[in-house]
Amino acid sequence: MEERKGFFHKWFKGVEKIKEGVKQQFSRLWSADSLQDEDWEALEEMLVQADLGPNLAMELVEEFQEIKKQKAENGNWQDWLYGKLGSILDGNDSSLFLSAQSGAMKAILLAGINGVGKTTLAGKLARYYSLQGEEVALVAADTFRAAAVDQLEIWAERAGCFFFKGSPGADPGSIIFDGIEAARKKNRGFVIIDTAGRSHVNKNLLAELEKMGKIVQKNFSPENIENLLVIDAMAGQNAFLQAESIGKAIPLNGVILSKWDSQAKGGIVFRIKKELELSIKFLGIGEKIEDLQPFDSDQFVKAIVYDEEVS
Amino acid sequence: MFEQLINKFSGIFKKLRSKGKLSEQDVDSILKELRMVLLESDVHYRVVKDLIARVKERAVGREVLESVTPGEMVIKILWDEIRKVLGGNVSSLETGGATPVLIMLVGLQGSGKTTTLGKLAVRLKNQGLFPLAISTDTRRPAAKEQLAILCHNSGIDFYDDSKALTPLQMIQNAIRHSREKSYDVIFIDTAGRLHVEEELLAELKEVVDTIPLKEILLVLDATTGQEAVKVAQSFKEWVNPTGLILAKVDTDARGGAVLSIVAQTGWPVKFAGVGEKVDQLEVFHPDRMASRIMGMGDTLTLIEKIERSIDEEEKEKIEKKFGKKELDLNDFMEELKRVKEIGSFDEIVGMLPGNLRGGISQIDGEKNIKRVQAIIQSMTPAERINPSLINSSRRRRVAQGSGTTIQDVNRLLKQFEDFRKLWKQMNRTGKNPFSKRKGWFGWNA
Repeated sequence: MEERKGFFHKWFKGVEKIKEGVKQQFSRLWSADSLQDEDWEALEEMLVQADLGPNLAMELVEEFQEIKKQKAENGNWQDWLYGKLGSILDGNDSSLFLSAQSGAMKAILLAGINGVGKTTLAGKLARYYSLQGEEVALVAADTFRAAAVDQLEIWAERAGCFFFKGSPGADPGSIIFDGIEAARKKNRGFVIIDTAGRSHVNKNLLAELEKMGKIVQKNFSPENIENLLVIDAMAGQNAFLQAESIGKAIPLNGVILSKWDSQAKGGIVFRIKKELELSIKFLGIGEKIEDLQPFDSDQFVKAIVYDEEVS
Repeated sequence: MFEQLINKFSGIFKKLRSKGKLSEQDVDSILKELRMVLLESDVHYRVVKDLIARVKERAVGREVLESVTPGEMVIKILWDEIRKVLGGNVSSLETGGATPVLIMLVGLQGSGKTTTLGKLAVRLKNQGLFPLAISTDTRRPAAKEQLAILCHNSGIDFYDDSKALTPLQMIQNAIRHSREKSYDVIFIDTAGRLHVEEELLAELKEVVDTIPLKEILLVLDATTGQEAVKVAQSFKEWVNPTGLILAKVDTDARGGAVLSIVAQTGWPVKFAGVGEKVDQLEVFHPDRMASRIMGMGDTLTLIEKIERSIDEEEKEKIEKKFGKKELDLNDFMEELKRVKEIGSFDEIVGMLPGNLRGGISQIDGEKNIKRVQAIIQSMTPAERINPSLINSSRRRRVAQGSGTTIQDVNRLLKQFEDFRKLWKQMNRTGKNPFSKRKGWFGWNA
């Protein structure tokens, strides 16, 4: 329990920031009688700085102005904001392999641009699912970045799971193929594949990813595959282009936001859900192997809007 | 998005063309759209606000030229402002002073420090320096190995001392090692750290306070959002970097973060990383970046079109006022410079239309351009404007000054006269194929 508290502490350090701003701005504007343009601007500024994107920020400001006019009949701003933000994240499901057959072999394929934290997340996921009783195999398919394989091997040791690497310079597709074979032989039913970071505008690298995705598809039925996109919580509006473009190479099942502990306000989760209809699955919240948190959208919104601590 | 914007502008503002000056209302409605563009590009909210205010000030009341729409006019003003903020064109690494010169790279996790370090080291090595690379990242698994392999593959010496307990010790040992082997530069890789991890920032500060570093470069991921400003603030407070390197420019990120940071700190942007390979490092171009932040891609096409139109119209106005200006030797030299910057002489002559090709190829070959320049540079300003002043004693002086012969000077003056005639003729007949362009040869320098 102590450990879980630590989790939330870190997580809320992020949320706390949004919360402070939200609380201050919204309640002040809510109770003020006459408001100047600058007041609305301040609200908009806060929302834009949370990386919500200018459009969503403006939408929220405009709607808030309306709500404020009808203040007399309608409850309070908190319920409105909870409803509003909640509806954007509505249907976000953080669980993986919802319709997978029990006992079937499963695979997670991690993709993303360079430096978002795929390898670290692969290690965290390996530990997370090992603790849940899965027989995990980590497959190192990043043959491009120097020492990426060594890095993952260290994580595998820490997570205490099976590790597979190909010969240096081997084709990542063939490593995945061999890795799945090796996992099968060793009775490891839960395969996590780390891939090389790739610019989402590089055609060759996208084609390579597409090929990797197909190899996974050949070995698993669709409900047993989770293709997850890793996005840096500090990323700005480009994150959508990343999701869009990588989503064309492999069918994406969800998103993991890394570096949540950066205190970037992660307003990006709203846009990812709203515009791409991709569920946020996990938050990476630190450099340690246990720093991984399933994303609970309701808790997240409640934490932003209301005062109460979420248990 | 930008395409749509341009279409929108040309639609809305066609009607406004007859108006002589940009009214506050015009400017406001254009800026409202441009503001959204900048925010979509991740430029910080306050920086956007600031820019928009400045552009408004410059734009309202400005005369609208006939050939551009008010929208284009405002875009150009905004572009100018952004470019101004982003700073001068080329800045390189400081490598002077007592060796070994120390250059440290700092930044968040995954911003691209190690890859960038490899690129910088290779660059300096290609410039004839002898660089050494070290890593003080003991936290991320296999971080040192990554740098070691990168160095090995690109022929850069890598040093490690497993006995060093702190980054400081590591660097001090590396300096000692470097003195023995006489390296010119030590590149120091550091562990990625968040701008909110004070303990780790304090560790960096200790290094910065103890060891004289020539450069501390903050590596920034071009895809960073609004948080960029806080990142910069924090690093400024703790280690006060000497410059920025923008990484992952090979994505389609608009890179507004770099504008936010430079606007706030004034740090020069030294390089841009444009790929994963060690040679994919480019000098940072503020003008291209300005276009990119405005969502125009990094080509300058639109801005060039606007500039050209503005130049053209202003030139025409001046010409109307003062009568046609005669081509003089200053112009001639300008053109030669432009030619030289564009490419090899043969290539350029090949690109010229036939009637002009004859006139130019008389100045045979690339080598002669230098001689021609030397001759013109040896003339007085008055002589350059009015070559007919140059009598025989002046010719002797010019020849001596430029290390050429009187015959060379004579030939040049003759060629210039021919060129001037040709130019006049084309102007008169209106057939000058370049009259719509900036520069008589049709290229922008």
